[in-house]
Amino acid sequence: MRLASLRTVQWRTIEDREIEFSPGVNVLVGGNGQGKTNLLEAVQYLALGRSHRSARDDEIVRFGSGYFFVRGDGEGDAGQAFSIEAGFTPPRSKRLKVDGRPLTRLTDLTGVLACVSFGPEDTELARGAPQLRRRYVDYTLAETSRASLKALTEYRRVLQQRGSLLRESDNSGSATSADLQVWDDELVRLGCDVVVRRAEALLDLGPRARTLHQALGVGADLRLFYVVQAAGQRLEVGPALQGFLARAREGALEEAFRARLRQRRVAEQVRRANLVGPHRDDLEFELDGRDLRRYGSQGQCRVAAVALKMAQAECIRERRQDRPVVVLDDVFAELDERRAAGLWEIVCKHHQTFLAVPRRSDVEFGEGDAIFRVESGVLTREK
Amino acid sequence: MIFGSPLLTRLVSLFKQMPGVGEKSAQRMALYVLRSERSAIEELARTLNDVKEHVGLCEVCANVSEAPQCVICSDARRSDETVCVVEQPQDIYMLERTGAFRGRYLVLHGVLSPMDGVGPEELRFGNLRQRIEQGGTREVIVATNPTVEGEATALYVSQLLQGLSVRVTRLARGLPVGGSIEFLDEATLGRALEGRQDV
Repeated sequence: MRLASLRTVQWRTIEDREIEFSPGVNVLVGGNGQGKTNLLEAVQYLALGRSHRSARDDEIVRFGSGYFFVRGDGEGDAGQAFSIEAGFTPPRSKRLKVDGRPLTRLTDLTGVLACVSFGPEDTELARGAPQLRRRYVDYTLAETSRASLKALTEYRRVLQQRGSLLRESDNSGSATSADLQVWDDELVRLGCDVVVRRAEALLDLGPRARTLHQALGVGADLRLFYVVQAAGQRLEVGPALQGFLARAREGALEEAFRARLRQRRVAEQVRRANLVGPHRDDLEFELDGRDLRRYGSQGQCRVAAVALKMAQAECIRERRQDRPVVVLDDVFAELDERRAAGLWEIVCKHHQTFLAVPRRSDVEFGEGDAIFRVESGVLTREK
Repeated sequence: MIFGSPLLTRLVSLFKQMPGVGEKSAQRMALYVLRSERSAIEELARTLNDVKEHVGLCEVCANVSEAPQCVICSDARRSDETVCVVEQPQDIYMLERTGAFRGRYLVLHGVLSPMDGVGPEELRFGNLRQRIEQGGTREVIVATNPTVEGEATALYVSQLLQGLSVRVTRLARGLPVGGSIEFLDEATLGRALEGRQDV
């Protein structure tokens, strides 16, 4: 799919106007603080219905003005047109429309504009908080299947309900095992579903990330491991995970999950929190057999993160039969020439790409690519 | 203050407390009251009072009723063999319209939801276990909504009835009648696949 045009009104520091994009690579060139990232944020906002960097909509409204509005028009690979509009008036009136129809739920926006992004914050994917890695897998799931999105939302819901019950215990004695039992059953049922879906997604993502990493890197071997907390297992994404998945489908996961819940029962009541389940899963990476988080350099972590994100793009493309839009914020900064060329070859040539770079010399341009200069929020098309 | 009348403003705010009524609808309703014949409004007021006075919950199934037992519980032609558990009284209305169910009901008036402070004590299970044991019930159909809370409530019902020789079932999920697969969301279609039946 591609985004043909974008209109922003009172969007951070960006000048109010409509911009037409190239279906190929769109390069935004500009110095620090000129508004490149703000513009990329608008593209991502259309995909997510919220900002990827700040959760607060009122921070996006240009300083001193009353609201913001953003609209994107585009089409899928099969030619089906779509439009997304988002408007916000502080303190909390937000409106989202798809093809002119108002949305009642944010989840209905998922997948309208599929977007894979890589920004400075994503370098943390390999060694930051586990939450980032869970979000990475879950985003892949949500973008590729409505059923998975529903499974994730339902799991989150059961966590909230069960958490509530555990927290209540400080007023009226501890939540008894009898009270917890139905929520345990729900937790296990929905939790197993989430683990199975994540495992399936990882079996698709892993090999792709490995190949992409090889193309990007200097031949170092990237291996993924899925740490399934509820089962107490760390599984290499490959035959090991496949075996686990087969056993999980026959009930082994459910059994392990229940055993662990029983074992942690007292701890859960004392700490008044959900301590077992896929909300505590993690991913681990090894580079040539060494733990990336512990031994990886900044550059290695970055390349691995890029490979993972681009694997996500491929995965979404394959499952939806439509190419996601790719947003790259200053991704070349820490990549050496060879890797930068690799990235250009693998990604930019195959997706509509929005690319922010500080200097024009940072990239080579092809036919049909568009170059915009960004200065104090004003965009000028140079090519 | 809207309309320059404190009384009317008060009426609007009272209407707004009703479910599904927002500011605009409340204003429209208040103006309707203002414009209506006195007799019509008197009847409305009387009916509101009468409803509050005479309509209560059935002592057996917690359905709405003007008598100690509701029309369904006191209908001798209906079967005691099946009991259908629903969230709200209006669910009974929907199930009755199908004409496919001739058993009895139990209205919970909600679902388990710790976030909203609703535990088993807040729901109207009454003496379900005893009722099932003594009434010769063979099947309990749990017709709560297919939400996380509805499922948890269904699990609770089956737990509550453990050890009794009664079958506990759940409504099926899947294709809507007359619907087209083309327009079905993936999640529902997925469930329909899971719950497929022999032709």
